[in-house]
Amino acid sequence: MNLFNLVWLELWHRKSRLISGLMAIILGIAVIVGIRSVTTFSEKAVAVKLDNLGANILVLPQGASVDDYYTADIDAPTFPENYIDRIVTSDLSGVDNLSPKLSRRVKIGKENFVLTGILPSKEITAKPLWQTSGLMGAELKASCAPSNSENQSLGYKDERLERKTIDSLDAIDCYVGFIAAKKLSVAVGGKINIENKEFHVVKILPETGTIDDGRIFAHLHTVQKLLGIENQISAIEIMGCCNAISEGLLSKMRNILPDTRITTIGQIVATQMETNKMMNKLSLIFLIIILLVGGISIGNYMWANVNERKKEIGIYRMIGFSQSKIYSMLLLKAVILGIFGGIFGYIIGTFAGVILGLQLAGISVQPILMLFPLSLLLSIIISLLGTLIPSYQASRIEPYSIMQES
Amino acid sequence: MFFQLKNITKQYRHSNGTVINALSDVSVTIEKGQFVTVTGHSGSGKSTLLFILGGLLRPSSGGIFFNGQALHNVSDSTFSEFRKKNIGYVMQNFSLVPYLTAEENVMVSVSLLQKDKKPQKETARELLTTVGLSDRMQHYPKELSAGQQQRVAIARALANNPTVILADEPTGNLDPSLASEILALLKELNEKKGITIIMVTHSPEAAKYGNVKIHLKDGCLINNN
Repeated sequence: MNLFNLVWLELWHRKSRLISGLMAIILGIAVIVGIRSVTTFSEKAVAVKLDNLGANILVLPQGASVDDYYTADIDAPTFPENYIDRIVTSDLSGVDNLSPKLSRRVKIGKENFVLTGILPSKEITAKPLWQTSGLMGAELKASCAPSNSENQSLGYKDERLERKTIDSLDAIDCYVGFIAAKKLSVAVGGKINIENKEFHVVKILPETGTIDDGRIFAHLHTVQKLLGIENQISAIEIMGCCNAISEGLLSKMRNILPDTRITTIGQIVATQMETNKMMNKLSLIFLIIILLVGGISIGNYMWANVNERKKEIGIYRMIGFSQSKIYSMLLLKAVILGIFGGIFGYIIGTFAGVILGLQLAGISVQPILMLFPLSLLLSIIISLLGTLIPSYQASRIEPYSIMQES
Repeated sequence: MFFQLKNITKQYRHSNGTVINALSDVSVTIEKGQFVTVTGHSGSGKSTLLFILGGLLRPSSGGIFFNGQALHNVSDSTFSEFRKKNIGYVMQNFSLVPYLTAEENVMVSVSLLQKDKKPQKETARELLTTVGLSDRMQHYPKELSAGQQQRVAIARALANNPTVILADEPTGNLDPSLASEILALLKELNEKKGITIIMVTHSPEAAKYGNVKIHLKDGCLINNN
C-alpha cells in the first residue's frame, strides 16, 4: 500500500464522483482544445481571404511611380528580370508568389489595352538558379497563409487566387481580362492579334473590379520579344506576409535591390495587419476565458472533493499521516485526474472542433497534434492549481476536530 | 513515568467570544502496562484529555511528557511521528476508511512503518486473524457488523505495534454482548502484550475493566485512583 494505491482506490471506489470530476476537467480541456483548433484554422481561412486581396508589395524601377505601374505607359522605366533571383537567393522570409511583370499599352483595332507579360509559376520554380538555392515554391511560402494547394484541400479555392498563380502558359497563349474580352468580343478558343502576333485565348478571367479586368496576360518572354525589351520587367508583384512587413521586410528588400523602388499597397497591408491583430486579440480573449472557466470548474470539483473527504483525511492524520503526506496524496490525485482529463479532453475537443467547425462555420479543421502535449500539461497545471488551496487547507485539518465532529 | 500530564489546561473560544475551559489544571501520571479508564459526564473533558494524550490536540498550557520527552511544544511532523510509532486509536465510530477493505484499512497503518507491500499484507492478515476476522479480510466496512468494524479498528490500532492504545467510547455503538467481547479483547491486549490502554467511557461496566480510574467533572480531575 502506497500513496498511489490509496489515491487509485479512492478514485475507483467513488466512480460516479470520479466521472463527474473527470467531466469537469475533460470539458474544460475539450473547450480549450476545440476553440483553439477552430480559431487556428479560422485564422488560416482569414489569412487566405486576405491573400486573395492580392499582392501587397510592389518592386518598381527607381524613379517610377505606382501610377506608371497602373498606366503602363510606353516609356515607363524597366529593370532587369534577374532582380527576382536576388530576392529568391536571399535569406528573406515572409515572401510568396513573386510575380515578375512587364506591362505596356498596346493598340488592338481602335482600342487601347494593357498587355502584361507574366511568368507562369512552373517556370519560376524550374529556374536552375532557384533550384540550386533550394528555394522553390513551397519554401517561399508566406508564413501568414497556407500554400495554394493547401488552400484548395481546405476548401478555400478561389478563382481570383488561381489567376495569380498561373501554372503554365504557352508562348502563343493568353488570358484575357473580363472587360477586355467584352470589348474584343472574344471567347475561349478565339484568337487575338497583338502587334502582328496571333495569340490563342485560353481563358477569360472572372471580373475582379480592378484594372486587371482590362488587361491581356501573355507569357513574359513572348511579351518581352514582342515589345523589343528583352530581359527587362516593369514590376515584381510580391505577396508579403504582413507580420514580416511590420518587422521590416521592406527595408531588407531595399538592401537587396538598392536601385529599385519598393512600396506596399497600403490599403491591403493595413487591412491584413488590422485583421491579424484582431484575430490575435480574439484568440487571446478566448484563451483567457476558457482557462478561467476550465480552471474554475476543475478547482470547484477539487474543492468539493476535499471538503467531502475531511473525515477520512482526519482518520489518516490520526493514524500518523503527516501534513506533507496528505498534501502529496491530494496533489497526486490532481495529477492523475489531470492526465486523464488532458487525454480525453484533447480527443473530445479535437472531435468537436473538426465536426462543429465544418458544420457550423464551414471551416475544415484538422487535428492539431501539438495541442496534445499542451492540453496534457495544461490539464495537469489547472488540476494542480485548483487543488493547491483546498489541499493546503485539508493538510492543516486537526484530526481532533474531525474525529469529534464525526 | 511513562505518560505524564502536568497542569494541563485546554480552552476553546466559542463563536460568541466566550472562553470555555475543557480541561483545567489537570495533572495525571500513567505507568506502562496500566489499563486506565476515564469517566465523567458529557462535556466533562474526557475526550479532550484523550486527544491531548494521543498527540491529536495541543493543550493551551501545561506539559505533556512521554517517556520523559516533552510533546507539548513539538512540530506537527514530530507529533505525527509520535502518533505513528507509539499510539493506536480505537474510536466510537470505528473511523475506518469506507473505500478500503478490512485488510487495506489495516495495511494503510502498517504501510507507515513498512514500505514493502508483501510484508504489509502479511502483517494485516495476521492482525485480522488475531481479532477473529480471518474470514472478513476482503469485506468493506459497510459489509461488516458494528462489532466486526470495531475489531478491524483494533487490528489497525495494533498495526504499528503500539505501546499505548487510546480508546474513545469503543463500545458506545455496540450492544452489550459485543461490547463485552471488545472490552475482553482490549483487556487481553493489555495483559498479554503489555499494551497500555487508556479508555474513555460512559459505561460503569466498561470502567470496571480498568485498574486505574480517572474521573473528570467540568474539566477538573475529581479522582485519579
